[in-house]
Amino acid sequence: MRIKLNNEIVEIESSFTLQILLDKYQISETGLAAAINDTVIPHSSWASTTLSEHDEITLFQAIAGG
Amino acid sequence: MTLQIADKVFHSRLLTGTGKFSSAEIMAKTIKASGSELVTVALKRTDLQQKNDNILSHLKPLGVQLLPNTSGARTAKEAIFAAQLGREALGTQWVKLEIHPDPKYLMPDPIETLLAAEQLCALGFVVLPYCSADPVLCKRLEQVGCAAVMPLGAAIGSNQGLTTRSMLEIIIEQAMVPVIVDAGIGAPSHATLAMEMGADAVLVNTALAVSPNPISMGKAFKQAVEAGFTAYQAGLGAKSIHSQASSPLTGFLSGVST
Repeated sequence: MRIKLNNEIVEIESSFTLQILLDKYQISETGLAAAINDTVIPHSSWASTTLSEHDEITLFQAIAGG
Repeated sequence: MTLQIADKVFHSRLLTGTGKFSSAEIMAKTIKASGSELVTVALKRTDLQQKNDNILSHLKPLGVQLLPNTSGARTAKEAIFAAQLGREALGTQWVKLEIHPDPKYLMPDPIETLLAAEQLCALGFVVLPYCSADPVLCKRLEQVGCAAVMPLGAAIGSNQGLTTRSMLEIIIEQAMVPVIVDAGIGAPSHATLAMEMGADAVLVNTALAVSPNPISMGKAFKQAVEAGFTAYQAGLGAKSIHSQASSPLTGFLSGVST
């Protein structure tokens, strides 16, 4: 199925959880926040959150700022 | 004397930002030299193509309390979303609430800020709102549960100093929560003045980051904040338009022929 990851369309298996997606893309979890369809998903729920077709996953991280 | 914000006690009254430094190494050394214990960071969408250096690896060894901001938010709704992201990314309930829709002047939107502050406080966040130097707004932000207020001294990054001085004086006089003067502080003397006026703390970013020697400037700001706070505690003398002699005029030379 297709989802969007930070505005890029990617093809994943339907059994994917958010955690599996992050692992597959080797995304560092340090200072990372994730949202699905503009809802923030707590870190503790990443492994139990199954992704659905057309989900829009957005990842954020800390950067320098005032 | 320590500074307490919500349930945390700080030994430094200088908050620092992490933006605009030439490198993460210089940023970290500057923060260390400044003695700052409360440090702001921003959030952005992760660039999946680029394995960029993680700012947290430079900040964690300093042992500072991180304060994620909501920079980029134009509405209360966006700010609440950003605050939730900051909580997840950094594992803290603390948030520097800032909502400035206009990129030219970066003036904080008072209406959206108050709306967001009320909701974030209700959600359990420790909210430190960046706001206009408006005594009424600061009181309202305090009443909805903000842990501090952060009125601006001048426009963000302008280095103009305390252009809002007379309003800051009212805010400081009536506040029951810490007042942190944020934005516009361009020189250590500005920080000293804010502290002499009775501000609880100041937040400095640009003045440090754009200095040719940020690390030395960090030390200068540390000393300036300490000097201003000590002077405030000691109590300043009253002003007068007349001269008040510092040396006793005993008239001991009267009658001496020249």
